[in-house]
Amino acid sequence: MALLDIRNLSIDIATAQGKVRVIDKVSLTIVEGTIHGLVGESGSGKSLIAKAILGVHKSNWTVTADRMFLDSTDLTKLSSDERRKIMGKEISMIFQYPRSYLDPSKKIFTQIKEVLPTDTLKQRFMDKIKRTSTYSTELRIKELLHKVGIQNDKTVLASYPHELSEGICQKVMIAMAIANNPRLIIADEPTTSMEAVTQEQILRLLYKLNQLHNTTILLLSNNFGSISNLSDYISIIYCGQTVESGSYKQIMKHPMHPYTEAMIKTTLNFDESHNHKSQLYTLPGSIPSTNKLPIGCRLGPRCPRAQSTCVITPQPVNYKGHVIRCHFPTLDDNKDANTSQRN
Amino acid sequence: MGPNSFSLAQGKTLAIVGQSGSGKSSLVQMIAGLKTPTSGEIYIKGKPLSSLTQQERCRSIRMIFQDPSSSLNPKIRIGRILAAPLALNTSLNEQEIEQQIKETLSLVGLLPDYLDFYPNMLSPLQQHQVALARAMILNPDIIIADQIFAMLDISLRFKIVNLLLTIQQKKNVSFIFVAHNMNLVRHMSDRIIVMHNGLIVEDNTTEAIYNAPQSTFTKRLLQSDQPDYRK
Repeated sequence: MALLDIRNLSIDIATAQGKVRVIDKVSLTIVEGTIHGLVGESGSGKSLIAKAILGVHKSNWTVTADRMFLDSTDLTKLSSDERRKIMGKEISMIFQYPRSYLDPSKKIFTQIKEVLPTDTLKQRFMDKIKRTSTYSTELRIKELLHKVGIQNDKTVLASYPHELSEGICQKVMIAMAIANNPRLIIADEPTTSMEAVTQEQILRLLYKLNQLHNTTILLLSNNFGSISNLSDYISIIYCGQTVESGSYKQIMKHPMHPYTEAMIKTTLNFDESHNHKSQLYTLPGSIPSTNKLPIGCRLGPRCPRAQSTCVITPQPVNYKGHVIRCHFPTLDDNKDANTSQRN
Repeated sequence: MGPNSFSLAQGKTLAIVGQSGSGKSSLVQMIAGLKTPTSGEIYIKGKPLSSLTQQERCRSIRMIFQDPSSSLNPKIRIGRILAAPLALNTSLNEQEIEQQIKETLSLVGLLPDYLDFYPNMLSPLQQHQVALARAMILNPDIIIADQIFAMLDISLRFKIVNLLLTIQQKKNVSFIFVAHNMNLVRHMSDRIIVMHNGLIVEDNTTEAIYNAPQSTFTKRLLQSDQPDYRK
């Protein structure tokens, strides 16, 4: 069942050069209890999509979507106050560079306390009468920290963010994100600027949260290799256009878009014959800047299969849940385009 | 940190890996001359580094920094950025300097048109090419790259790896680089040094390290690289 269902989300940003369509009709369906990987290089608009889902965009953005449902709530119809209430409770977010997102002037304890669900007045009153705060704040915080794998909770709680390592800070961020038992966690490149061992710890923690608590995770990353074997579903985005999305198996076994094929080659598996110090496969050219986006399929100028029809934006085609936007996909013999399911 | 000893042959690549705080950066900064060792000596082509003048040292060892957009001076044009090391460290005349700049630019795959550009007018890849050109312009023996791949996107990373490999083939220059991504290290390097707490725990050829890692730190590094969650 889809927890988050987004159809044709577009974001236009008003700039000095006029309106730029940075996100072009992105559709995203996140199934409850899965990890959904959203992969794209920097500048492809992953963070913009995350911000649009949360509703924290700036005034010069125009966000339009045909459909944007969190379970059965229509996010597009909510006022910003109502959106704010969903934020942190239903959807919470983990950012990159955790140290810069934690308040440097407050101790970790105070910061976690702030995000804990506030007790109702009645509960507080009852606690006072009973004189037993059975489930005290300290205990709850301790439990949270243990959940994310911080053992020495006392020292961590008494420290300021700058005294802790990036990995611990990220764990604290994750603890704050799961404090309200959200239904969806958006992790925006949670492991950038971390060393390999810490990266693995954080990803493993997210994986465990998904497995043990059935939390749905939208995992944004620019590195296909590091998150691909963690995710159940993968969407690949290039310059604000989704190029391909499908289950892990579909994407890894039968990539159909030339960009996905290039991304899979970047994982550098040494099982195949890889000559030492040989040239690595890359697409020609580089990512266009946002004010010089090509028309039609934005991969066009760099694509090895590009033809003249590529100046028309390809429509998404659904092959049994494997959605692809390309005029010339790699097709298997046994795969028929289910064109009636175009969306 | 230390005592550590290792050597590097000409035209080969040495990768330094280890957890953060293990002293990788301090080690390369010592080789580049940004830090001075308390004891011991670094020899280059048989000569001790301390006996070289600043200029000789610059001509021999060059460093590339992590972020070219901050390591290139935004207020001067590419032409002057590239001319500065030549003017400071060599006695070439203006024509020779121009000739050298053009040769180096074509080596890194840039057109001479870019000489009049300011760094911020270039794309990230071109900025990296300029940073590499600045390192290559004195025809050095060793180029030191301290975590230049960490912040890059995967496709850009591959382009720069390709560029470094081509340059090594053409110019027979040696590389010393610090990196986290073990797959990339395996692809690029001939020799690997694994560091822990300021000490070299393993120093061997790339093949040997990958096929038969000796130290536990090396094993842990290799394991952390591509963990399999689907078991």
